[in-house]
Amino acid sequence: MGDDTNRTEEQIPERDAFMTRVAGILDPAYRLATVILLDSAAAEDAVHGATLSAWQRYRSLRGEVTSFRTWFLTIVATRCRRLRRWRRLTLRRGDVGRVGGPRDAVAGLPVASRTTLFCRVSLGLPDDEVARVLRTSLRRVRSRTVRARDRFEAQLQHREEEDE
Amino acid sequence: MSDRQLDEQIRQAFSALTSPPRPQLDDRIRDSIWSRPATSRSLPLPPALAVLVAALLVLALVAAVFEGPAAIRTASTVGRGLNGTIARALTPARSAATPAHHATATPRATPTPAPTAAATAPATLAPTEAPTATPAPTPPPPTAPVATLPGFSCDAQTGGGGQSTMSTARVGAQSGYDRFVIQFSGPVPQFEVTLQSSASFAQGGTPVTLRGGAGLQVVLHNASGAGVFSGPSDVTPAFPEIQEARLISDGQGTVQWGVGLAHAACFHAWVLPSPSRLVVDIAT
Repeated sequence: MGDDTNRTEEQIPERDAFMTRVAGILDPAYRLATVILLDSAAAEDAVHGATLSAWQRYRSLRGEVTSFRTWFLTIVATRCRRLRRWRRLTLRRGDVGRVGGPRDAVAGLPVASRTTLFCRVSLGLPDDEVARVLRTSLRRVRSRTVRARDRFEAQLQHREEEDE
Repeated sequence: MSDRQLDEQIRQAFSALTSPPRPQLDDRIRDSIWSRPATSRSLPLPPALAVLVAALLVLALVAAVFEGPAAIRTASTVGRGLNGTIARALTPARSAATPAHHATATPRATPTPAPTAAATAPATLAPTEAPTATPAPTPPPPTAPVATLPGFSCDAQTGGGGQSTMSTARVGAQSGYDRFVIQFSGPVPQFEVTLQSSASFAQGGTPVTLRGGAGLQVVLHNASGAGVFSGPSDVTPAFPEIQEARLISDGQGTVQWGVGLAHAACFHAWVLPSPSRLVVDIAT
């Protein structure tokens, strides 16, 4: 008795395919969740829940997802934003590093700008994919990216001046 | 600073802010996925039946226009008969998707919240035929929880076998159920999981009351955690069902856990290998 008792002939390849695809996207998904929630434990819970939710939908889509990455990241981002609204998570300094470091500069950005910047620069997603993942408009993605970059740069310069 | 340098700074900042997922996350996801089949695809109505239903609706509409209410009643009688036929035609496929519960611990279909309260509400809210002399309405008698989820039952569940040491325990909240897991370093020992109407448990002759209004008693035979158990012996997660889980006793080859529940709810006790775990899912 064990895991395999739960498998049917139909489910084995479907689940294996799903898990393989999830394994390939787990790292960026978890990082995206951390960027939104600024809490590694909450991010882990969110990714776990989002993956279960994705698996429920995966079969109804019969695996026919045009871009698994976009689809999965959208589920993760949506869940994290909902969690954030529910819990009103606040920045936990112990979790994200010391005040004043470059990572605090990105952590201090508004969540929408921070998430957009992360998707655009760190994950390297094109603007239209970022818009789909974050369920926003292309125009807003572009404006947020520009504003977030400017703000990040300004914060860095401000800190350098303070250090001097 | 050039755009490229700025992007590099941003990447480094995000790298410092985030970290790779722990391997436990992948394990946790795998556990959940393997223990939770996806929702069955919606059953498409066979085309012939769909045509028949559509024809019946058109017939009822035409009859309503030309014949009046009597024809509608006739059509609805025919419709009920047809509904029964359709339901019978679809029943084998549905029952195949939701296998019947067995007393042995076997992972099974997805626990999804069932509308038990919604189903019982109309009966209790139905108006009486005539007002009585008693002004205050009598509350409905308390009823035992009904096992409506596949694989879930309110009866005592047993399983496992062999001798083992308990290494850790944890709780988790999932969509539709809360989960209590005990992990072992050997095979899952013989277990008994029993639902009780209160959160009070006997700890060496002394009653111990956990949080919650009901309880699950988990007894492990030929098991011990002494010197090996590294998990928490008392957690109060305040999940929808699991309010508290406490190691009540561990001695003479018998381990007893008490789980305080918000309400008496049906559960599903089963085992997972690699590592060996006793998993108790409590319907929420």
